[in-house]
Amino acid sequence: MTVDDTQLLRRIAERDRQAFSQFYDRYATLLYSTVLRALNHREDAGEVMQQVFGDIWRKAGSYDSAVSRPFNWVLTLTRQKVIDRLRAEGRRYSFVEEAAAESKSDTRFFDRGSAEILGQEHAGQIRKAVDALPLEQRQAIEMAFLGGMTQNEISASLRQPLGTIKARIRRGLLKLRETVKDRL
Amino acid sequence: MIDERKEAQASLYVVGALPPDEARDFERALPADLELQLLVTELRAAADVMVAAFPRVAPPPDLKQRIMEEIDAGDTTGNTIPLREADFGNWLYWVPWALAACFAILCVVLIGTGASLRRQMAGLRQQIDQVSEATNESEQQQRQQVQTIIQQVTNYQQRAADLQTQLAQRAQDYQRDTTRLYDQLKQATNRLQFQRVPLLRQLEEQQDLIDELQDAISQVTVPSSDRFSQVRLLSLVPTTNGPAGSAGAAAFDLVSQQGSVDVQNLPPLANGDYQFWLFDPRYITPVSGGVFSTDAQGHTQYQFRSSVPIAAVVAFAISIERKGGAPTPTPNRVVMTSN
Repeated sequence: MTVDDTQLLRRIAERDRQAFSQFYDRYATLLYSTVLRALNHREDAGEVMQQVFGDIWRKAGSYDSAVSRPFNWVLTLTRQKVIDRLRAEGRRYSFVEEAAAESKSDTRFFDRGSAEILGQEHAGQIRKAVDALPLEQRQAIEMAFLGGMTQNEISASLRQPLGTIKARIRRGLLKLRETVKDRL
Repeated sequence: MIDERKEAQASLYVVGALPPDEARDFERALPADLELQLLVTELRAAADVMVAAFPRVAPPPDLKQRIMEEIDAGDTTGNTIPLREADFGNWLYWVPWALAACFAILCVVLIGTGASLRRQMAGLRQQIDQVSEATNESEQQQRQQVQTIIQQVTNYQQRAADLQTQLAQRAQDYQRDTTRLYDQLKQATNRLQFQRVPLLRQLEEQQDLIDELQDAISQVTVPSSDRFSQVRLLSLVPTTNGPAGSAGAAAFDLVSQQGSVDVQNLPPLANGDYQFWLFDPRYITPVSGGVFSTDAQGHTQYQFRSSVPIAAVVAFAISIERKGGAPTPTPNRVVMTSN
């Protein structure tokens, strides 16, 4: 029987190494893929992963299940670390290069951890929904979400009007919302 | 109701793309708007799941080991207390250690109790939040229902008031029309009443006149058996002054006071007119029956009415007179007489 993420976090808060190890196995691939996509650098990604899981170990007691799900809490920690790293190094999130790399690789699959986190069926629906998004909408969302860029920075970077950027982010998220709405 | 602008703001806020000042404004407005809170929750979940579609890359195999070592080092560092040189033979040496051990045990117990209480508190907080949320929703629904009912009642009252106003207005109009019609009817009745009196008087006068006329008719009417005797019919023949070969006849109805003349072979006159005469014994001079002329064949026929009442006719005559006739016949110019 799969142990609930919330229970794992409670046990981690109690300094349960086994629970922490289990939590790592479940989230590592998902989070590493995310960090690597944002930083595009394996060593940096490894360092950020260490920081993220160090935070999980230290801050598990502050997790409130009434506020968010474990997945969302962990992803927030990860995003924050990624954005901090990008800003510290004066780098910008580069979606286009990542998209090109993605098209060449055939490494997209769902690891066991992701299936446990999101549910096998739901994970498939999410992937279809994200794939169905126009590239420019995904690009704008990712630049803000993982790159920590404001609407003005995205607008300047892509040389698109501010209203266009706002509309892309809004439309893209509203489409994704339809996919996750029933799961909330 | 969330419009497109708010949707865009919520989307940008969720992915962290709002400028700091706009993000602060948005966060200030968020607690007061439940609908917006729900939207933010859904959009945040939508943004988060996007990472599930990223190409999967397995982390380096040694990463887990490094992380485990790091947390172990962190725990060890935090919990390690450095030992120092001491006289283990002196029992007083152990007193502070005993106290420390007691304190440590107490701390462990308190920490365990605290963790348990935190868990309970988190659970209770969750329950309170759920109950509070349900209560809020219920209260909101009740408020909406009450507002809807109040609105409906207000609408009905408004409509009732409008209907009452309309009814009162129509009643006033009806009353006003009735009064006006009654006044008109009364005035018309009075007028007719006033007209009735002279009309009745006229009617009586007309009736009297009819009676009088009927009496007069009865007096002047002659029995049909005597009707012919009242007509004088005489033939006309030329005198010595008249044209030979001329002939004619004349008739006069004493009842209608009308006569008729028919002559032949009486030559037309260039200057002057023929004048017909009736001889009534009651008058000193003959009575004129009118002037006439003849056509190229010497013929004429005409009717006339006597200008004065004729009671009896003893003779007729025709004379030649000046144009338009004369008051009495010229003696030597009589051309035809009744025989």
